[in-house]
Amino acid sequence: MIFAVLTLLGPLVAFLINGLLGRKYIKNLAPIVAIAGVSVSFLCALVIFYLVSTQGFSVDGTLYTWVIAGDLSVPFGILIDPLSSIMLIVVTTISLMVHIYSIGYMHGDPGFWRFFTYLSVFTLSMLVLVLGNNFLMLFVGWELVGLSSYLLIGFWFHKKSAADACKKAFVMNRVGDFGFYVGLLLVVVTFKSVNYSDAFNAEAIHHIKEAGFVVFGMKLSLIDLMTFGLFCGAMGKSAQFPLHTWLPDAMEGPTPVSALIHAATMVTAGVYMVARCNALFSEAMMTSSFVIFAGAMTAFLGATIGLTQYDLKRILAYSTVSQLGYMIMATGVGAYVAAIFHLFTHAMFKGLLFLCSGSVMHAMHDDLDVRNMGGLKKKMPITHWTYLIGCIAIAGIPPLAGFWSKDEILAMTFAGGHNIAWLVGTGVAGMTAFYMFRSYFLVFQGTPRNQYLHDHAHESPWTMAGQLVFLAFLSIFVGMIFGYPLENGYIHTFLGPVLTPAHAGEAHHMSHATATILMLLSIGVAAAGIFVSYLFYVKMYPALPEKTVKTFKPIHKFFYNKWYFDELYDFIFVHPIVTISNMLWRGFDVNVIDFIVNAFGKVPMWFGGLVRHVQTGRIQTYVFTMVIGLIVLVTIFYTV
Amino acid sequence: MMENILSILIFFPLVAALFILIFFKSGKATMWAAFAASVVEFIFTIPLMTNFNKANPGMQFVEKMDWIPALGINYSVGVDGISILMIFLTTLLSAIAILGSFSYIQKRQKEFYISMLILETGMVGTFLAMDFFLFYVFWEAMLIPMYLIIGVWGGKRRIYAAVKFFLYTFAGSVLMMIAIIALYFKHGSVTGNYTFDILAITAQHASYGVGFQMLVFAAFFLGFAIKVPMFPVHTWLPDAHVEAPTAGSVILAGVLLKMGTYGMLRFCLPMTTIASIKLMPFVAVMSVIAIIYGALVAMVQQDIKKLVAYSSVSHMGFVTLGIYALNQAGIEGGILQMFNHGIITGALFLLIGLIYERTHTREISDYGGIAKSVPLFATIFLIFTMGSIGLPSMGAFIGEFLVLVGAFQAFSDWAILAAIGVIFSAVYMLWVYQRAFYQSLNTKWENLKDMNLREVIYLFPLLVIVFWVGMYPETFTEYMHASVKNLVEHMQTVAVAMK
Repeated sequence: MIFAVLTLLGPLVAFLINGLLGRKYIKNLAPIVAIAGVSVSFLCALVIFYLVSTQGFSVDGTLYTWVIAGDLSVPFGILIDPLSSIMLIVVTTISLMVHIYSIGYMHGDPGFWRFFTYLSVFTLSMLVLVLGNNFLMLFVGWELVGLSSYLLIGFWFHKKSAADACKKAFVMNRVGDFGFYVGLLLVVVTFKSVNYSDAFNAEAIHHIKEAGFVVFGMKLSLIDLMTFGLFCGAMGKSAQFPLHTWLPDAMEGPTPVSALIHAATMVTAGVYMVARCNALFSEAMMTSSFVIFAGAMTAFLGATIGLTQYDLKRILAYSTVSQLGYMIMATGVGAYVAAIFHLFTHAMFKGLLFLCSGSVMHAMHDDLDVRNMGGLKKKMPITHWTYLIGCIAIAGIPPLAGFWSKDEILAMTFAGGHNIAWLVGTGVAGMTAFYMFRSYFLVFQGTPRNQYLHDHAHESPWTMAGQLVFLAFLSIFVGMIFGYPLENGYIHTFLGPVLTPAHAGEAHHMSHATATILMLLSIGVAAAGIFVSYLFYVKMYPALPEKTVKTFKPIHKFFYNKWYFDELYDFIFVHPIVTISNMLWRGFDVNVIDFIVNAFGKVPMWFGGLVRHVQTGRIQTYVFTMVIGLIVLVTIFYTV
Repeated sequence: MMENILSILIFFPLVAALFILIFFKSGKATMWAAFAASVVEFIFTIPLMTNFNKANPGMQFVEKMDWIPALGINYSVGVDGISILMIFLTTLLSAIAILGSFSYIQKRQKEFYISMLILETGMVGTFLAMDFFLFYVFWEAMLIPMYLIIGVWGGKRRIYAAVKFFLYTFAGSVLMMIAIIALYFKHGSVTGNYTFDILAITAQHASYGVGFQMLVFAAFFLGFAIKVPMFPVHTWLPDAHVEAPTAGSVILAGVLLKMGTYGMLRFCLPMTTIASIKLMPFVAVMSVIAIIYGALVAMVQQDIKKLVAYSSVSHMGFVTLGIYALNQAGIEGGILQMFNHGIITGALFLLIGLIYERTHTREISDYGGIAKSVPLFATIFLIFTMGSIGLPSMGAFIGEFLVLVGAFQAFSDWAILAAIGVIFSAVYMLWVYQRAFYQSLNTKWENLKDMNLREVIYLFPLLVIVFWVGMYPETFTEYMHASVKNLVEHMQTVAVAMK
């Protein structure tokens, strides 16, 4: 318990110190305070992880009673179990790396101290999200990470694009949170509690398994409705189709933020939530099917858009969308361990890739268009090698991290009999390998396409490059350490007790031969993706890509314009709502209600004209008359 | 002193006002005197809060004297778990509003501060009165200073706004008076004892027939709905807010709107219980309409004050929704939300007022990028924006959560629709924040002055309370547990009897 509290206190204290004193007194020393805070959390996370893995340590305790709502009492409580301890490791590791990296990256920015203050807020919120022992605490962290994301996307708020993007992110998340709220209310009325321990109680779930709930006159399965509501929250936070559109825009924020919040930690909160609620989701058949659909769809959507983008950060953003789709798909098929495993490895290599892109951006004077890059491998050796490692890891080439977790997801999907999802997942794996290497080849290989920028490019300082090396190291090894042997690695021993796969469990027994074929197939697809990418962007560049774009012009345009989701939402939501609101205001409020009111007003106005001589406009007279009047009235009443 | 604490609370501001009227001349001196008086008044509430017995559901610190015995009129005051937070809110916001007016009010300062103090007496009296006649006197007494504050110190269209405010609320008062008189005679004819005593009239609720209850409920409800205000009788609010000076808006939004919901809790629910139970779905629908309608209309406002005014319609919809859930969580959430709305919206109006003093505009499009020139102001505005959106860790989240938990148990479909308000509030508040504070800085505002010490001082208590309620709501909700429980049990007994 003490470690959990310390974990929270570190960033909280750092936030308070920087927030109150940063502007005037601390200024450029802000990172010291923030890093000290997050280091405390990081050390605590290591201790907790050690205790959990060696001694089966766990905590489910209450700090104080937070909210009392009738019979419902909600504690401010802490939960430590294998799942939260591994999340702690992910959050604090990446957070610490990003904090250090930001010293170099944000150097000289006028909002230097402000940036570190926000980072502390974020770390704190994410830790609350992970450590809470009930749904309401989860929701607090959930919304507060949304706030930090809002603040950090809008960090350079003077840019209209950033101001638009941060609002969009918050609102899109709120749409999902509306569903989450309804899910939460259903949890409250069903279990009379919001504590995980009460809601994930097998007996209680068994009790309500068949129950229905009437909503707007329709009787639906209670557990499906509940989980669907909760999942809506995950769709917002983890950028799942159809609420995915905010994530690419969120790239307006500083790059370390993209790495920390919009790749490694916050966006995976949805996956964490679904995994945390596995007891409920595994009983909800309808929702699970929808989860698989949403995940596979998102994976596909992200990959197709990623194929066509030219902005380095957007390519990475769509790849994040796509990878989040994988994780969600995994939770849908009941492969919760694989989902969290992929979350874990993805945090490492995607954090690495984003930090590399920041390094490139630094060198290219904030130009992010891959068409202006090329041949950077000599100028930036560290960034080059670490980026390459990140690409191999995400492509799924063994023995790097991505291979282990991605292969498990695909194998489990296949084993669960979700053939279409498996097919989509495998196809997406190929596309991922293709477009990630596309970005690698365009940025680091070939010849410089903008000589001026190229001449001024330089390797980043060690505060930045050091983090790249460290994360590259993790991207190589964490998969092997936790994932070997496939489908039976340490990660299963560790997370198995809390994330027991339910309905995928029985179907899981694949023959050894099938598993091997699947594995070879997924390696083959990844290798093919890389090879095609090599053909396109090294061997026959730029003739082949140009020809392909020309041949598939309509499809390319469709993908390039992100399937026109933004335009569609403007057309069906934004414009109608604004029009209706204007109609209600000018049409109804002003012209109907006030017309009637003013008509009533005319009568006393006329009457008022008669008595207006009494009105001198002098307060003394009014007050005086009032007092006299009161006295007179009282006397009359008394004497009568 | 404790046995007369309520009378002291009621009449101290009035006495202070008279004192200022007689002994003070210059504007600057009255300003400080009024502030000192309002602070002393606030300090009086502290022993009230600490000596209040939280386990007692009934009236406490009761004072009762004959006033006009012939008509059964008493001077009778008391406080319970439902009104005590409102007293705290009123005295706190009055002091803050007065301090917030120092630079805003430049003409007829003496008259202004006298009006504010008289208004305070009216408000405190309304929440404490335990006699219908006394209640009505305070209710009306409140109206006049407010009318003057809008009409004299208001903006360009102040006369229109003041008349509209007066007409609307006066219509409400008349309806309320009819209901009071009806109850007076009914109670008299049932018991033979003609009295305006609120508790006595409440005690006889079972002897009022359904038809009678429906009529009384209708009159009360309409009267209070105007005050809240609920759709479609809300149109006085935007005009009144836009034209009122800052202090007027703060008190209007912070306290006066709560009179409506307080009236529902004090009169509609306990006196016309059957009608309340029967009409529960109707009120739920009206609340949901208010939530969504208020939010939608707020979204397209160009005047920032009008936007906050319409958002009040939406937020107060949550209050009525919670109250008419008729269960512990809902009613407590409703009361807590009354309190939160007072704090948060009060703060927003203060903030808008202080930026208006500097820029002389409230058009959102006239601002732009000012987070750069006034960072402290922008930060505090963002905190209250987030508070208004209902971000967890701040008060409104707890209030909304309680309301929705209560409402979901009572009428789940309407609660789901109400929860949509959660999305819209983010849309309109963040949109205005983006347009006013973010994007490129309008060159006009490059040298805008950030908040000064006085402004920080009067916002600081509100800031503390917002987070306090969010992190440890029990401090505030524990006052109401007993009284609300009593009220809910009362409703349940009647509901069972109805079946």
